[in-house]
Amino acid sequence: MMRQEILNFLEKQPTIQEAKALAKKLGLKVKKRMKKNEVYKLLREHSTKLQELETQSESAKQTVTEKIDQIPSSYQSDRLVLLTVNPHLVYLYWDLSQETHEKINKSGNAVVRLYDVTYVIFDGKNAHRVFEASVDLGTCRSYYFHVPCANADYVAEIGYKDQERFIPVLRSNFCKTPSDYPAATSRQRWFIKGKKQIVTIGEVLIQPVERISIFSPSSAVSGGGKQ
Amino acid sequence: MTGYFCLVLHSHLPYVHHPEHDTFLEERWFFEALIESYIPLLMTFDKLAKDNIPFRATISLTPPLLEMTRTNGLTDKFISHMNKLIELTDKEISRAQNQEEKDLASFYKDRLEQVFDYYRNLNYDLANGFAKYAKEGYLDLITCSATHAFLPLMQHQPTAVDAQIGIGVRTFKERLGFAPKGIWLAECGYFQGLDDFLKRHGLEFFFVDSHGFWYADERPKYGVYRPIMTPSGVFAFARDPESSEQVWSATTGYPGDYRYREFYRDIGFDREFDYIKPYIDPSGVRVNTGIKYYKITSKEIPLDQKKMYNREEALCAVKEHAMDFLNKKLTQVEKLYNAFKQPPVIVAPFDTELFGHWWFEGPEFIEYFFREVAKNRSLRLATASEVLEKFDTFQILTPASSSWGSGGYNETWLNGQNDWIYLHMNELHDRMTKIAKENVNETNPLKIRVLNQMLRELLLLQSSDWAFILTTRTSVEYAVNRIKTHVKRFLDLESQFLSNNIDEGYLSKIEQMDAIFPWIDYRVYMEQKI
Repeated sequence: MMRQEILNFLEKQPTIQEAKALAKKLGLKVKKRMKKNEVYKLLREHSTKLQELETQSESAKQTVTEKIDQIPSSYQSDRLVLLTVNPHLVYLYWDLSQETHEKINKSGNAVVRLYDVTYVIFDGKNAHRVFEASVDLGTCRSYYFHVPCANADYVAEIGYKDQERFIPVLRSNFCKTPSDYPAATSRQRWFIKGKKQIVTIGEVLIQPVERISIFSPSSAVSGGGKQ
Repeated sequence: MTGYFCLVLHSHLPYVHHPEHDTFLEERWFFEALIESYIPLLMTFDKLAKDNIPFRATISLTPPLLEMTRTNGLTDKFISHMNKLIELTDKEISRAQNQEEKDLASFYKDRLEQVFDYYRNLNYDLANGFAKYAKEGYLDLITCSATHAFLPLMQHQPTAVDAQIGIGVRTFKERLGFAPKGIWLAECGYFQGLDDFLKRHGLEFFFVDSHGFWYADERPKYGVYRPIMTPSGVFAFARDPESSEQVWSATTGYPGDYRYREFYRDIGFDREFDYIKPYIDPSGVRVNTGIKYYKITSKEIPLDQKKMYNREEALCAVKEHAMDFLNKKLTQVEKLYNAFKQPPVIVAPFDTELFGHWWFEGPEFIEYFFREVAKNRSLRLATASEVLEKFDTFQILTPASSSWGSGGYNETWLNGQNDWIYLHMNELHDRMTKIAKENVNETNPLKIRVLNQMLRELLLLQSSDWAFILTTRTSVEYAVNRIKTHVKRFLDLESQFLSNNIDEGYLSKIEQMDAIFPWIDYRVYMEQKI
């Protein structure tokens, strides 16, 4: 059915039953509760997608640019990439080689992990928080993590569970969620044209502690003086 | 004097160039923006300059736009597009049913002819028109990332960020003849640390969205109403949320006034098929012609019940709105001045295409607003560079990572509709880095051409436009095809290069189609020492 035919049909102000019948015939989704105007709208929208007349086919061919159907769906690059969506959402995707895929899959317990590593030099164990999700490598190639902390650093790993133990296989890049709250400090620094010195007003920013999760004897000396 | 007002216009279109077709639907985006926004805006500046109105604006011209305006093939197509449109207005004049229609049809004919003449006098080079006003100090022209890439999602790839900015600066220099002082970050997309890259390319200022300042690492004393300096020594301006809301808002903004022209009633859709056929897409897909006879009338009534557009009435509305906007700005700066005891800086950024294309009367709004501002002493127009000269002190802070997209962060360019793009973007980026590094001393001209073209394909893939279209669901098929095309061309060229089996015919064909940045050098894609 051509565009003009549908428009002519609508011009005649068909009843809702007639309009619905046509919409169904055209394979459009007609809902039971639709009002007449809604069905008209559906048809009108559909009509804009149609070609006007058969004679158009030749020139139509001309404007379809070189069609590309296939680009790789994987590069087997063994890459784990972490990207920030917003202060409370991060996106993780993986592109695995055959070998890595088999290694993780063999366990039957594929797992992705996200670590909050804000102000931490991450050693695999010292994250403030760990988020974990089981994934099915056969169907799933990415994962969105909701995260509680804005303005925080994250890193992810993909691996598998051997009993209770997590065996990491690949680690991602680091990413930082944007801040969504005003700074707590009242410090202000000012640049004055022609002067090298920066003027600082207000409370001096306290350096963040290196580790805020666990106290350990080895770190007890790092905050104090030179002993 | 109680405050400064900075109008910032961001002019961007994705690189759409299909010399393999006589006409191509998406190339109309460029023609429409020229006819409806860019040239009318230049004509507005002419009128203001003639009357000695000291207008000021900061305008970005993105590299893809600058590259399209120098492309002869597109200029030829533009000329035939214009001739056809003018022919259509002739037909419209003869078929008019009444005087009202006839007057409007003649109005369009005159307007199109003026635009056409104007562009011809510019030698079909838009950059010329803007450069003239930049030289005279009316405009601050700024650049953008090379292909309008959304940089916050590339921050894990410093080479990619650096190349986008470096090529953005270079394109501007090539086309305008001087270096840009500032940059418009595509989609206002900023991430902490980006200012270091800007500094390295000699850029002095950029813009962020309001919450970039609100949630900065230290509190901005003057909120968004005063530029700040980042620790790397680059200045940043933040968007004033009030000005945007007044002008832009779909519900309460000026463009929704009932007297303004209705965008969605176009003779491209209204006329019988046989009549309009020569003026729409050859495939028979109906498109906007830009000839529209109706006014918004009321937002509640359906499109087919709109009333005729009345130009006089619309211009009255423009005058009212320009006055209203000025009064709102005066109230705003007075309030801020009283609070700060310092003149505030109001930064109002918009897409250039809002004025003229979406809001038909937008260029006239700018004209009347500028005329009214010139008459009063409280508000002064200033370009971004001028504002930086006016102050002696700047607060130092690092803005928060942010964008002006929906939600204020990255979700428009990274969500379930478009996240699949990043697999390809990241992979191709790494391959480009590797191949550039391994072949840095390449001397074979053919091989150099392949490497350069691979970089063009990667840059075009990085355009934020494709992810945006997939989110807004507008020209999805085209965007998907563009993504796949650039990936495929890159991979084809790469495999030819690696197997030392280069098909020069294929290479030449692609060079003609993706003909952006003719001077490009793949060596910019070497690993950066940052």
